[in-house]
Amino acid sequence: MINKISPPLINPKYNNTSAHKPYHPAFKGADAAKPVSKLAKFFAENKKAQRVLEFATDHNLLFGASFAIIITCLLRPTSIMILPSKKNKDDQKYAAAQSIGSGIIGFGLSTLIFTPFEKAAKNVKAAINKDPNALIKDGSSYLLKNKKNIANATTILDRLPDVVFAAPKGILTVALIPPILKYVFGMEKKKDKPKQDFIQPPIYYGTINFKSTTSKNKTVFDNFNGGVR
Amino acid sequence: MQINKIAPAMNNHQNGQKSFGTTPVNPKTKIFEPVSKPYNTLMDTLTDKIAKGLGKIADQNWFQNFIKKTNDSKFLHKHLTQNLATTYSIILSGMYINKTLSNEKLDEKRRKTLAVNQGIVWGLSTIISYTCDNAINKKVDNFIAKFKQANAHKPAEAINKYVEGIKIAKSIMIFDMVYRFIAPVVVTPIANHIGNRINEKNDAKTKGGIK
Repeated sequence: MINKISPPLINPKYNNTSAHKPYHPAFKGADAAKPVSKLAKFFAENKKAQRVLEFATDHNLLFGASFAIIITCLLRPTSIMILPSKKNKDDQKYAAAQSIGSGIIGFGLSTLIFTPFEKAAKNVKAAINKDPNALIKDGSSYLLKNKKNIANATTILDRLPDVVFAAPKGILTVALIPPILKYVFGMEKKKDKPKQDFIQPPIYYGTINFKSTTSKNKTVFDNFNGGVR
Repeated sequence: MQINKIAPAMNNHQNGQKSFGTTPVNPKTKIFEPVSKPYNTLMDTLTDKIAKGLGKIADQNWFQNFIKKTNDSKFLHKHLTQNLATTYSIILSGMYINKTLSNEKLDEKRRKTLAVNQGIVWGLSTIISYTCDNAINKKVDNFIAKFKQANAHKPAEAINKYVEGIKIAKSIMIFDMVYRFIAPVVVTPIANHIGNRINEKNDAKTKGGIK
């Protein structure tokens, strides 16, 4: 019914023509005169792209973890393998696998830790927006003065787990990389050549005395002068 | 009654029961019930407790003072998402530097060199992140204007959510890209070079002092 009465309001194809100006009051003026780019059109029309934007708003920590997995599992290993390096091929492979391993562990830990936190933060956000007094007991509280304060508070609460769990997540990731590489990728870091515990002094052969001091071998070494003829 | 079976969470809400984390039960997922039921119960309890904790934090004076200071400072307020990402990187880099400095397998000179390099990597990455983020802001604002124009037929609430998503995604992508990709691939060799130069200068000074 609405479609028949006012097609320009419902059908997006009418909204960007000069004959039908956008009805939304906020988009009149300079913005309305600019041509709409292909990218803007893509995001406006593509439902999957819009879902990604919604996901970034509602679950910004998990969005970060998802983007990180693209970098650590695709971009970094590719660049490690492609870019010239002093390392040999095996070391490059190990570094690439390490990047993939850290990405997978990071994503797993983030999902495990942040999912309940994000859900809780979302619920707190909804509760504050619905009835701020139910959560904040003090009526004269700074947060209750305007919506901007609440918006900032919820943004900080949203990202608080990222800051709080930064160190434990880092420690766990570092600790889990070697077993993941060993049992999932079948890779083990080659041990460096064992270093000598002491520095061996250079041997000056000129000072070696072949003449034995013991009486048993005295005759043998008495006749030996050494050297090359 | 049917609602009761399908969506007890909704029913609880309608009855005025205050609970933060009730998960609606989907009838299609009955096969997974033996696993999903205890998982959902655990998640609900956890979410509920975390939400209560977050609610308590929001009610604290120190938190409200912190929000006030954030709002009063133009830099802190304008770059809130970026500053939180930087705080995360400070904690992580600080931890790694601390671990390097206390690593007994390395000799003292090597420890210092690595720690200086890690500090330089963090500093350069942070500068690059803020610079890129600021440089791209104008373009993103133009894009948002065009995006709003293309979405003019949609309700303002939905558009605001998308716009917020664009801004958050932009900052997260730039900071992640710099810290996780540009830092190890591009910044680390530069930091190594700077670190080695600093060490060489320090060594020369020490040798000069001994003479």
